[in-house]
Amino acid sequence: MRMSHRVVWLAAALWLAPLAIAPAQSLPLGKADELGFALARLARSTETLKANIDQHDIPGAVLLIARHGKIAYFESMGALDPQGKAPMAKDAIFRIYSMSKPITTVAAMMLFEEGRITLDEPVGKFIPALAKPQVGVEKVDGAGGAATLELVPAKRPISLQDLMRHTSGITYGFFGDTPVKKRYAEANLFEGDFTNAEFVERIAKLPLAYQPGTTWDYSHSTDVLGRVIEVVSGKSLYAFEKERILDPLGMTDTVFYVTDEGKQGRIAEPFANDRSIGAGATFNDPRRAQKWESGGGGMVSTASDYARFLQMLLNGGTLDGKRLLGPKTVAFMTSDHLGSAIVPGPYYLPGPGYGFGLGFAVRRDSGVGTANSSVGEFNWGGAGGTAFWVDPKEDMLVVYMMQSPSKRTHYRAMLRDMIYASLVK
Amino acid sequence: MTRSLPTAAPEEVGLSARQLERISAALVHEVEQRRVPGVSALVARRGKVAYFETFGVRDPAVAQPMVKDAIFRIYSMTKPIVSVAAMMLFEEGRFLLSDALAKYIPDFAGAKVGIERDGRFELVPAARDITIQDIFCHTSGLTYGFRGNSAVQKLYQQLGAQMRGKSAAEFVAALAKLPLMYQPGSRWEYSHATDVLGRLVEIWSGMSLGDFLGQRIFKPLDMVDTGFHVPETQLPRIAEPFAKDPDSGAPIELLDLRHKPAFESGGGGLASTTLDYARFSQMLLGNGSLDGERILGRKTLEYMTADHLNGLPGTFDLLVPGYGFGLGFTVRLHTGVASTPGSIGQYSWGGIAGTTFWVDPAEQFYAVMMIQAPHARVHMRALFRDMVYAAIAD
Repeated sequence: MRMSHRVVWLAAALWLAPLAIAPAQSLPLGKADELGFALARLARSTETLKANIDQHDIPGAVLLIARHGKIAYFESMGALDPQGKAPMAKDAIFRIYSMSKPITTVAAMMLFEEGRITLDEPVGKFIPALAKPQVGVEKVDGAGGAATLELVPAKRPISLQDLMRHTSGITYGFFGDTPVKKRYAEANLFEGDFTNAEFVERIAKLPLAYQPGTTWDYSHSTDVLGRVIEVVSGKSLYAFEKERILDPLGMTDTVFYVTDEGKQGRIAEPFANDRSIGAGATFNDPRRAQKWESGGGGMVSTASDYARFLQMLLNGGTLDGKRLLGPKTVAFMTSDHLGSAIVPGPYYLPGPGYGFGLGFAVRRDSGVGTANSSVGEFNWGGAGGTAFWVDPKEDMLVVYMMQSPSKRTHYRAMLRDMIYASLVK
Repeated sequence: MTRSLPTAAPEEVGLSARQLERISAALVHEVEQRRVPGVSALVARRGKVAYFETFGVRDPAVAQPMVKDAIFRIYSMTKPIVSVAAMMLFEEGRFLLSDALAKYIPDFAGAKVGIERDGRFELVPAARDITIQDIFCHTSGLTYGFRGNSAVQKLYQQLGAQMRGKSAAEFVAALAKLPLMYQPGSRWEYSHATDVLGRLVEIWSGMSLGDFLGQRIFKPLDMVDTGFHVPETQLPRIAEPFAKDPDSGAPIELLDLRHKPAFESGGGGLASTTLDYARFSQMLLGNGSLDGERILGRKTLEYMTADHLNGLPGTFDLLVPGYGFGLGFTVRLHTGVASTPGSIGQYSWGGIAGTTFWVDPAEQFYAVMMIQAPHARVHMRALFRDMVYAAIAD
């Protein structure tokens, strides 16, 4: 009698388990082998991640692979917080940093589809402080003295297209130490509790690192784009994104600040000694709400939420009957916008074999790149260790979440190589 | 005996029997003109062998006929096999292509480039690390001693003479002490890089190169006659060259296959048969698997056989016009431009004794030709390729 009770209880638990574990809005579950993956090969990714977690290389990870609209693989491994005992969970919340940028860019392109912005418009039309930018040019004294910064007027205005493809001349203080980048690093850009409008005013006081439209350089451009969305829509960036993207797609755990105490226990954490995300910047605490809604890097999300966002893109702008963008707009965004005239800057994060579209790196060649992919694949990652890619040719998307900034480059490449190795049909 | 491949009449797979007969006639003519002692040639399409013929003699010294299971020194056709072996470890996440070579072989840290300027030889620091991708693509800055007489190549020639009887580990350590010929990533230069890759396979796998190839490639693909030496019982199957080069009169000396070498050369040490290499080619054409044995994933193979040079210049006699280079193969970029036919995406390589192969995914087509006649290699490869492409009849 006891036995049979236990069996019934177990059967009920097994039956309920998927419902209990799967977040409310995920993608439909599929079978990996039926979706074209060799199971033994896919298992090698799990084994490698688990072995690396056991060796304390990374604290924990969530990996989600979807193909043909269905989840082929969705696993969580290791610890949610290496300082605690809780295991990593599929619904863990990660600081996605620069993976905010594609969401901001999609939001802007929704306004583009409505005719409220065009890509050639100068950003100064919406943010007057950026109407007449100056470019910082390094002058080296012939006698070997210190380099000085000379300011020259920009040859043309910064366009909205420049903001979306990182060719505005605006930069980041994180990469490199040219005089302009030093000015960024020393400008106390992140001091106090400031709004997007105030942040953009701070950016506008700094010189550009390059003439607009000449050089790809990773930058605060997407923060400026977030402010443009606010000016055009009359709403805060989050209010606009919630109404137009996050709610329609059911991305209920994607926010700038986790003020819901019930969700705060789901936030994944890095190792204590691996909290730096670049020169002077450390992991933020998303539990502490601030005014700043950084379109360039302020969001947190889950693997399921982000997978729904990517599936919308892979479907040409629609998911579960909710259309966010037209397919031609998605194709336009995921085409290379650099061409041959725009040169890659010295920290060209897309890497060899890639161009850049509107918000995404876009693969130009099957080869050349240092990790495996298809032509037309588009991707981006976050400084905290998260990454994604979408491969339209293979009808596939991958979301990889971890909080381990120092290991981000290695895991992005390794997982690409291993996941593509397991695709056999 | 190697498991064979399925066969078909030429017409069943869209090939012209008449044209295949003309290929036989042309190969017989080359034998009769004493350009080559013997030839073994195989053409397959859509997974079936439609042509497999031998002509002339296996060994001109004893005047025995060429046989289908003759064993050839395939030299640089070792490179695609070793590149596939390394990519099996890549699939397991053992390394990244962007990794510095020095991460695994520290002797290469702080590499210097040898520059000749106004008759003086100078060493300058490498502008960037050699990456593993450079090693696959021959863009590391390494060279070969036999490819020229630059100051760096002369140092390579001296090294070659000193390294007899040394292991791959010893050879690669000595190689790392020589200056590079070019800055890493600046140029395609044919090189010992694949010997270095063979050594990397040993480091990554913890096995000798021969054992790794045997267990992970030759056994699953049933390439029973492929290895770094030929067992004593099989010695009578070795194909031999003419004693003397018909053009120069110089003696022809090829690798001695009778003993297990101390140095298992990933760049050129293997012996194989036409059918063994056909099985390897069929695995490639089959997107990484043959008879249910999966060697590589199809995306990995696509990645390997894509161009990785992106217009980087190279020595035109080997990186010929119309071609780029992937991870272990030269890759066709244009339908035209090249002086032999082929589809875009065709990939190939050859060995210095004259062996050649190509795989043409667009035509579901591959061919293998084996000779032991270094002097005739350029002509024979082009002749064979021109005539085999002419056999496509649908």
